[in-house]
Amino acid sequence: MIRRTLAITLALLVLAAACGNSREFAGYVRTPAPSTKGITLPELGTSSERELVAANGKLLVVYFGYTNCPDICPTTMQDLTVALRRLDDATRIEVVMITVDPARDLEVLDGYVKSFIPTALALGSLDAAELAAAAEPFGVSYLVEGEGSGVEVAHTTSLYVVDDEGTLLLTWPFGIPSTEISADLNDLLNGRRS
Amino acid sequence: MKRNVLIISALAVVVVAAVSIVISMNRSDPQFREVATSERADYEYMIPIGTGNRIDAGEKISIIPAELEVHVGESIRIINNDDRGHVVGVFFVGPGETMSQEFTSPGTLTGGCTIHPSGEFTLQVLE
Repeated sequence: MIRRTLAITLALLVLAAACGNSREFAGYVRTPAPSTKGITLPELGTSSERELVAANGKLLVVYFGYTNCPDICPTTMQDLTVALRRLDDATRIEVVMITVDPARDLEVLDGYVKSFIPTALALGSLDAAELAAAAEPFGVSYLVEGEGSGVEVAHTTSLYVVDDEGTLLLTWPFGIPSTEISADLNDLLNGRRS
Repeated sequence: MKRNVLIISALAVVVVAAVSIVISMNRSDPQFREVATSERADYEYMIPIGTGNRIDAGEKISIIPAELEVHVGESIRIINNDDRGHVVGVFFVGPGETMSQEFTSPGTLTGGCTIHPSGEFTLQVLE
């Protein structure tokens, strides 16, 4: 009797756990998924180039923004910081921030992004074609207009995650809570892809 | 002994159920999930090839309404046959891609839109 009760309990627990794992990704999947393989940008503060592909066994979180952004960029970076703290294994997540305002950011982006996430990398280029090629698979658009104190910047505000084969796995529109981002990342780290 | 096993078993089930409920309550709205392209979508829009060129030429393109009301459980599909990507609210649909999403909780999604003259698309998901 006891053995049967334990068996039923175990079955119920497995069922409940299965139901708990049925959460949907908060980010959306693009079909077919774009590839970032072979796309590189200069890593600011170093003389090396960084391919927009995660290291083996890791995930690469990618964000396009700029340091003078008054609201969306710092909010996104803060949300990502909190999301990373909640992960089972944050060492398997790499973060890069790519500036859409290179004329003002090349010297300061590295310090900016590391103030949120010390292990994050800053990428950027004054070569407009190189930046456009990096933005293309993500569908990122941006516009920098004006001069001096009158510079205005518009840009796509989504956050992206790429795997170690250069596959764009998920896009998170701005405003997705950090709890959802960390849950998605944990699922992806555990091998879930759909 | 038998009673203890039953109590512990019941408690375990309750705890797991409670955790599942808390997880689902923490989800913010609106939520969406990917739908297989083989499944029917309630709202389907196709962006034909040449749309980008027509926009460049100054034509007003209106493939999708500026505002769309859907209900939880309904789905939207956007097939992009153009040779460039298009923004539809919070979604980006690359060239040759198909975006299929079912909405699983209510809320409002607003964002830019390259396939409506207003340049904006608001999707309201109702209960």
